[in-house]
Amino acid sequence: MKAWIVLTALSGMIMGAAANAAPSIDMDYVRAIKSGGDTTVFFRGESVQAFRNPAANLTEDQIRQHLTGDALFERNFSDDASRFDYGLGPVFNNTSCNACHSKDGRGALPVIPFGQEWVPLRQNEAVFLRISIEDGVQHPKSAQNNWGAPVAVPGFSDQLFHLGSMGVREDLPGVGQAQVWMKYEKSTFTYSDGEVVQLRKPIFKITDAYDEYFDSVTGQTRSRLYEKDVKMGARIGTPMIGLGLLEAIKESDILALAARDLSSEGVSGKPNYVFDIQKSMVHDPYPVSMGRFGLKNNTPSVFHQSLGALRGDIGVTNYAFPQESIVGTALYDLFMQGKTRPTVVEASREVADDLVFYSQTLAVPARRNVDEAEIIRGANLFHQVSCTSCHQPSFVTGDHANPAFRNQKIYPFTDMLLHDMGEGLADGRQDFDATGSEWKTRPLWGLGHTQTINPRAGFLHDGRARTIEEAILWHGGEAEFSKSNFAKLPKADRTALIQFIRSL
Amino acid sequence: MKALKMMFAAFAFAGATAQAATNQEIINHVSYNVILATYNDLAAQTANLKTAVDTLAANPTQENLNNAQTAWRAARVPWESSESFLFGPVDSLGIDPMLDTWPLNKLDLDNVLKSNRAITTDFVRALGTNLQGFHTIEYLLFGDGTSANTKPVTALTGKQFEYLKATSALLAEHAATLAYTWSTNYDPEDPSAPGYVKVISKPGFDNQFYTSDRAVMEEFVQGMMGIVDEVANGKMSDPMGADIGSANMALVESPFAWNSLNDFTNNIRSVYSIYTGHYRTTKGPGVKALVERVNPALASQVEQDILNCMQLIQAIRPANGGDFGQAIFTPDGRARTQKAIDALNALHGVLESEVLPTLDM
Repeated sequence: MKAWIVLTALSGMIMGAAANAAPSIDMDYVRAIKSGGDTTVFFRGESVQAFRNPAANLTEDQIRQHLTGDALFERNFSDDASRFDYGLGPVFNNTSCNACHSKDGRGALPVIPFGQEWVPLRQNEAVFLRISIEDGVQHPKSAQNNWGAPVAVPGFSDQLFHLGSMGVREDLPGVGQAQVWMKYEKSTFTYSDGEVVQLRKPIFKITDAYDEYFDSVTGQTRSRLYEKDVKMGARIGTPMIGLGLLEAIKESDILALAARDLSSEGVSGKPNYVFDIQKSMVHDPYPVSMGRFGLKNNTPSVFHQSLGALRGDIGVTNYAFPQESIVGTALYDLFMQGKTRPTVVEASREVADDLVFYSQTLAVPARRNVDEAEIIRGANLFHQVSCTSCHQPSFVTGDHANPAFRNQKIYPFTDMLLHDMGEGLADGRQDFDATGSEWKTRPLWGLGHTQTINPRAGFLHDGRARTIEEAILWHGGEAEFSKSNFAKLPKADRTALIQFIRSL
Repeated sequence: MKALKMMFAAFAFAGATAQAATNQEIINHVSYNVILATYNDLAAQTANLKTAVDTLAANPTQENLNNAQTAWRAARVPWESSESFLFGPVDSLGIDPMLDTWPLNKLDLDNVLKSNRAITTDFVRALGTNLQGFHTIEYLLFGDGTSANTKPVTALTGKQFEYLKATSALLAEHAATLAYTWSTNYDPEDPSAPGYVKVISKPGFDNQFYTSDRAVMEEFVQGMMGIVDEVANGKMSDPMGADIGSANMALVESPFAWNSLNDFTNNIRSVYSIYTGHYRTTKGPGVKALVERVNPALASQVEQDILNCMQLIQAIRPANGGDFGQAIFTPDGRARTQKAIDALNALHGVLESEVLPTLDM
């Protein structure tokens, strides 16, 4: 009954919003400097330190908590039970938060030295694979399917852990559930003026799955992971700035954007409704909320996203996610043979809360060079080719548990909605209400610092784009209209538009 | 008011700036003669360490062990002296964690050493970053550091020699790569990419990473601020804890070789190098030359403050032996540590509120 009431209320809100005029774009973004409102920090140049600072309007106590979280964010968790930093594994994708969000920025794909093809993913990579079974059917949300969550691969999880603690794989030390390999598929994009841009897309293959066996009938090596219905999609570490502000954007403002009629541009953003661990922890019978984080908006809060990653990516159990991701699999049972099952979680409540607080409170840097004519021109072109339809420039935030984030005029350049981005970017995996080709509009704030922080940082969900230009050219589906408008611009205008994005 | 005073100071010394280094000269000198030179030294010293380890493994005498320990300490100097400029390929190629992940995973290391596997460079490469790099080598060469920082050569096993050889070869390989990325090609996937030293020393609108010389100058100053803060509020404060009861040896960096105080001093030495432009025997303009244009008194004061911090860190060393890890368990040692932390925090404040603004004057 509760579910029905919630759904009715939501559709009422959407209809109510639709009755209003579509929100217009506030063009003050062209010259706006304080991207994060009062939380903004200032760097006049580019800097490797640009994403590392606490929001400027925190109290002294809050800064103290932020700094405690900062140290935890860099903590290398260990699988040595005698150490204070115990908790890593048994399987994992990396050993610290910082490893994938280096200096709180974007990650890079593994290096494939010139002339080589496949390389293995090791510990130093900021990328991992999400995996799930895709039967092409979207089932109604229920407790049985974790309220619409992806279907985990039997014997694995919904995430492939390529690294493992000592003893997980006696045959392959350091390896987790399987080895992951990557190479590039290359292509080109040609502008009408003849300029050619080289594009590349990472392709992955999996070997040495822990459940692998040789099937003498077919003569093939088999694993549940190698079956056709298993879909995988790469995810790269994304920037950590301004997440508390995104949490404070009013839900009604996001829904109003979803209700806009942008059919003339082929755009139709939609919200995702996803499992909410905080509602589940207080036994809400319908633990579902609007998604805001994750590349497909598949988590509703910084709390859920951070502690999910702590347990998922690093294997550190915590009070929100008290069980290892691979509990119930043969690999876990084998590893735990002769060992006592843990009765307490690995991260204390303080560690978990400080990590969440840290993740909410990293400052957005101010914009730079806003008075340069070329950048003002680029800013106007950004709207002219309709980038602003999805990269919504500004919001005024609503309420938040942390007063620092309330009532702030912010410039994140995202509508917080899912959009079909076309086949070129699709991973074929549904995630709650997101289809295999839908992705959340990435916030663009701070983008100009990204590759100063990490010269090899890659844009888009799997880090394939080496430049902002490549990222734009991968835009398809609902973004086709804007992409082709961009591609039709003269070279000088394309450059001005990119220079504007670099000023963010 | 402070800014206004500085503006007057700038006018007053306008005559003196005729001979001063330009921004481009400062950037060039720091990029080539401090940063690139440090990475070249790191490559050379880690190669020496590899040779010393190979010699030790071939002929395990106490003298050869002492030589390998000396080579480890020598290699540690350029690495720790690079921490005020942790930008560029050291991050983008993930070289920092491969050289210097802390803590070492002793449990896993013991398991690997107990197994029958052949230990090669490629085998270690495939293991976690907390099973390779400086601290793994440190542990094997110096022992556990609890009561002493020496190890009898007879305590080294055949497997430990194998592991030492493999991981010190890997360390030298990564350090050589880092030097190469700065001198020649910063992106192994793109043969046309120049050395990172060329990127950072030629800022401009077309530079993918730094659009102006001011941006590079800010990077230098932010880098100085970053490591000053890290030494004070991470490397020293975290292990020290609130009181002796909460001091934590497991958080001390380089505890096996008792090298922490030298590490911290070299971290601040890297601040000194960026600031003054002095690296080893090389001299040239650094950030100080920029500050001098605006406020010569401040410029000298900051240099003194940096040197003072280095002295205060060395002064933490216990008179009766031991290093930082021992000092934080005594009231006197803690008081000396606090004094260094306070001085570093004050230096950080000056860099942020007085040096950084001179970039815009």
